[in-house]
Order: sequence, then C-alpha cells, then structure tokens
Amino acid sequence: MAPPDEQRDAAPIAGGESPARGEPSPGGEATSLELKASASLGVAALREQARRTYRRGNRYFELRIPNLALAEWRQAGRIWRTADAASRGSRQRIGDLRAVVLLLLTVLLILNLVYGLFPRDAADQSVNPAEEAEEEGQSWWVHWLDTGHPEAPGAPSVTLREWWQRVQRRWRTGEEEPPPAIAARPDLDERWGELLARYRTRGAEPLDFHLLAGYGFIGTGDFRKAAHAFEEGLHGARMPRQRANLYQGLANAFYYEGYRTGADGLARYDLGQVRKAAGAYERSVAAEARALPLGNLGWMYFLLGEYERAEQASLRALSLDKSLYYVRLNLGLTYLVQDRFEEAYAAYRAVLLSQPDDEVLSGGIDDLRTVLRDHPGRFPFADLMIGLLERAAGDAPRAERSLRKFLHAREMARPWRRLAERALQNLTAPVGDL
Amino acid sequence: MLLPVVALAPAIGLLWLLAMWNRSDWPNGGLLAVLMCLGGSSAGLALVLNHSVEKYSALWSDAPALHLRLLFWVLGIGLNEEFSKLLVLLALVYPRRSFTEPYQGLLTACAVALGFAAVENLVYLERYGTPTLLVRSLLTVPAHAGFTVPLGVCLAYARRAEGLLRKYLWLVGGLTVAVTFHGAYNIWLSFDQEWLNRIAYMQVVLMLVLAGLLARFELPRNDGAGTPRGQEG
Repeated sequence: MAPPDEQRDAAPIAGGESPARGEPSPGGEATSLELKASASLGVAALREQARRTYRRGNRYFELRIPNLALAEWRQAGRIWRTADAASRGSRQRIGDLRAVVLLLLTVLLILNLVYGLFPRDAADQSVNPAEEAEEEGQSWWVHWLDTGHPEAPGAPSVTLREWWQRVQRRWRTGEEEPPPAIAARPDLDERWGELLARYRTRGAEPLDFHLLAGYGFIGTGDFRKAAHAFEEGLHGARMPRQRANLYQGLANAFYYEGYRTGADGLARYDLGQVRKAAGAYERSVAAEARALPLGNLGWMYFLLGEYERAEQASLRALSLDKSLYYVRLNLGLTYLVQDRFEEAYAAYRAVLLSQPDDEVLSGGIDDLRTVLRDHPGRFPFADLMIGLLERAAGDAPRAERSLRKFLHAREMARPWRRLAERALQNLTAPVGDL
Repeated sequence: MLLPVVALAPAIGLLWLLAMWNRSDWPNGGLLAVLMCLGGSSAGLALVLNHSVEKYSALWSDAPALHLRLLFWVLGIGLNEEFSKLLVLLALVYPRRSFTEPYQGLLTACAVALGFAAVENLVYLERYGTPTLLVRSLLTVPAHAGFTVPLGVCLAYARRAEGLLRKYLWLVGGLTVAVTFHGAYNIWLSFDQEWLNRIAYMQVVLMLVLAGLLARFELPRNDGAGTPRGQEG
C-alpha cells in the first residue's frame, strides 16, 4: 500500500479496486493538464476522478511499479483537494446568498416596524384618493404624490411631489432657469431688507411677501395657490414668529380648501384637509404659542373627534386670551358631545353673560346645528343651548321652538328641564336671571 | 445648461480621482462608471421610499413630536437611501468572485454613493437654486461617499467571513453604520441652530478622514511585485 504520508493525501478514498487495462498513464505534464481540466468539473465528478486515480495507483502498486503508483496517489490527493476547494467555494456562495436574503428580510422587517409602530393617523386616510381625484378631475397619481403634510422648511430632503411638479413644469414650459421676473431682480429680497431697514418705523415687523401673497390668494378663494405661497415662504423662514405666521396662514388655506356649505346652510368639512390644517396649526403653535392658532387648533381637533386634545388646546388659548368667544363656544361644544353638560353650560353661559355680537351667537348656533345634523337624536342638550343662544340673539320664535324641542326629549335631567321652562316663561330675561 | 454640469461635476471629479488612485485591475474604470450610473438610478428608488414613509407613517420632517422627526431622519431617509445604494452593491459587486478585498468595497461603494449624490444634486438644483447647489457640492457629495464607504468595506468583510452568522453580522453592521452616519448628518442639518449645522460639517470631515484611513490600510501598495490584488478569479 501507499506510504503513510501519501495515504494521508488520499485518505478519503476507500477501497482498492484494480483499474481497467489500457487507461492513460498518469503523472508528469499529462497529470498537471488533467488537473487543470478537472478544475472545471463539478465537485462530485472531481471526487470520482480522484477515486479512479487512486485505484490506478493501487493497481500499479500491485504490479510492483512503485514510482507510477506514488505519482497516481499524489495526483489523486491533488484532485481531492481541488474538489474540497470547489465545494468550499460553492458553500461560500450559498452562504453569501443566504446572508443577503437575511439582510433583505431584516430591512423589510424594520420598514414594517416603522409603518406598524408609527402609523399615520386614521383620519388622514379617511378620504379615498381615487374618489377625491375623480371629483376634482385630477389623476390618482397626483393625489398619491400628495403626502398631506405641509412642506417643511430647512429640511435636507426633496419630496417626490416637488420633484414631479418641477419635471412637469419643465415639460410644459421648457423652463430651465428661474422665471424671468425673479431672474430680472435677483437682489429683490436684499433690496427690500435694506429699504425697510432704512425707512421702516421702529418696532414694526418686516414685510413678508409670501404671507401677503398667501392671504391675497385666500381672499380670492384660490386656496391652493395660497398654500403654495405660504410653503414657499417657509423655505426661507428662520424667525419663530415668521414661521408661526406662515404656518398659521397655511393652516387657514388648508382649512378653507376643505370647507363647503351644504344646502342646509351648514358647514361640511373635508377631514383630510382638516388634518392637514391641524398639522400646520401644530407647527405654528410650536414656533410661537399664540391664542388664535391655539383656538383654531382646538376646533380642528374637535372636527377630527379628538376631544381631549380639543379641550386642552381651547383651554390653552383661553388662558392666553379670555375674550375669544368662539373658542369658549367651541369648548362648550366639546364638553357637550362628551355629555359633560355642567361644563358645557358653564362655557355657553360665560359667553352669554359677556353679551357678544350676533355674529358670535349665530356661529355658535350653526356649530350646534351641525352637531345635531351629524348625530340626529344623540344630543338633545344641544337644543337647549341653541334655544339659549337664539334667545340672547333676540330671535324669540326660534328660541321657543328649540326649547320646546328640548323639553320633548324626556331623557334629560330635571334641572335642565327646569332651566328650559324658565327660559320659555320669560324669553327676554337675561341669562343671568335664569 | 451650466448648472446641471456644476451639479454633476463634483461627483464625476471625485470618481475620476478614485479611478486614478485605484491601482488594481478590479474594479476598473468602466465598472466604476457603471456603478455610478446605477447609484444615480437608485436615487429614484430612494425618493419613492422616502415619499412612502412620509405618506403612510407618522414620521415626517416636520412632525410635531421630536422623536418622530429624529426617527424620520434615521429610519426614513437614512435607511431608505443607504438601502437603495446597498441594492446596487448587492446586485453588481457582491456576487463577483473578484470581490474579496475591503478596498474594492470602498471604491465601489464610493462610486455608487457619488452617482446617488450627483442625481440628488440635480434634483436640489431645481429646488433650491445655485447657492445651495454649491454648498451641497462641497459638503453633501463627499458626505454621501462617507456614509457608504463603511457599507462597502463591511460588504467585503462579509464576503470573506466564514459562516452565515458572521456574514450576516458584517452586512447588517455595515448598513447600520451607514444609516447611523446618514441619519446623524440629516439630524444636524434639520435644526435651525448654526452650531448643530457645524457638527454636520465636522462629521463630513471625520467621515472623510475615516475613509482616507481605510483607503490607506486597504489599497494595494505598488511594491514592485507587479501583482496587484483582486485579479479576476
């Protein structure tokens, strides 16, 4: 048999079969060529070849030709090692592939977690983009591009929607440079700053063209252009007050864009727009906490059914400015829809005692009617409040109707019924006397 | 016409420098150019992924809660963009038998990142105009290379590693480092404070120093042996 070191080389090869007569002679140049050729074979074929070579060696050994036997055994060892290397390479590739698949699954898992743990608010998704697109004659794609968020200033990213809008603009107009009006006066902003610094009255706020343009567009009813103007302004806005103003304007534009008046004269709201407006008011308040946007934010939360947040925002607004009647009315409405009648009445009573303008009263009445329209039979207490507001507005016939309607609702507690009866008995007495 | 050239020039210039620096046969200049083009197209995928995060999750750049904003920059923008670049590397570089050395990962990752940054520059040119473009060319183009270099190097170590777990850990580790670098850079720039913006500049310098150190350790030395590493196997 082979010497020990050669046996180690060929150790995996078992058996000692005799090779067939007439097989080509191994060793020397022929052997190395054979080895090169074998490198292209598969692992199983290589191992089979190694076995055959080893058996040939055994045959030479039996024929007492030790040199040839030794050469065959060495050759068998080389082929076996080549097969091992090829096998390792194959395993390596499979390992690489598995690792890549695992990595891709990991990334998918992380993305899934991002969407699962931080989902977008359900109210945001309430509007069906396809239906909305059909209504407005725009493609679904355009609506898909709209994230529903206002554009953010100073962010190191460009959104898909912005990119798409610019591609469209280029396609339509072939515009390569900024519009000529801007290009002709590249120093406009700097010049205005210089002129204002020279002539402005001390203490006056700097003029914000985007703010002016935005409110101008709101005035003309073009809310999309208004939103665009405010968003453009936000890109360059650094001062908190400036950002607060622009976000407030943006929120107004979103809100009015989603505001419709129905055949009954009452408001109908696009909740998607309300959500966008709420987001913009939040940013405005974050930049600078002011009573008006806080009050509006409370109303947005109310429309979205987030009563706890609506209450907090309204109370915060009233802590900054107690004279905001509409915010107090909103607060009363927020309490009312939560069946917190004592607090609701306190809020309405506070407004009535202040004897506000008829416009304030009619706004409150419309909001209460909207609640009754959307939830028929659910809030009879609203009829009592409507009656009191109409009574304060001097509309006795309507007040009487509303109060009687309230008294027909038998489930209300006795103190409220007594209040309605007292109001009915004297339709002109001040609310403080009731 | 001049501005798009200005937008693309820094990335192309840096890639040319890399190609000149590269002393090995693989990756060659042609492959680096192809990788740069594909890196540019991966910017489109990143744009779609970023948009999806903004549209379907609570994370966005101006979210009211701070943690949502921070997560957006890291797990939104950072992960999406680095993942897009990684896909190009996984498709074109990782399966190659020649890909065994970390410096190859460094070069190929740089090429993909520069392509990505070049296309992003073009998009920003539309959005913010020339001054921003010039700042981006100096800062963000090399920054993208800095984010992705660790990813490329780790890809090579994953290729060398024995065993599934080690390979996987190298891949995940590379992506984690890239995403962290990218996210941190975005976070510094997302705030209005000047000193935080300066941290972003410092980060770019540090990342370039790191890339330089990696290159110094990993690039094949011209020792006269005439046998550069990374021959086609």
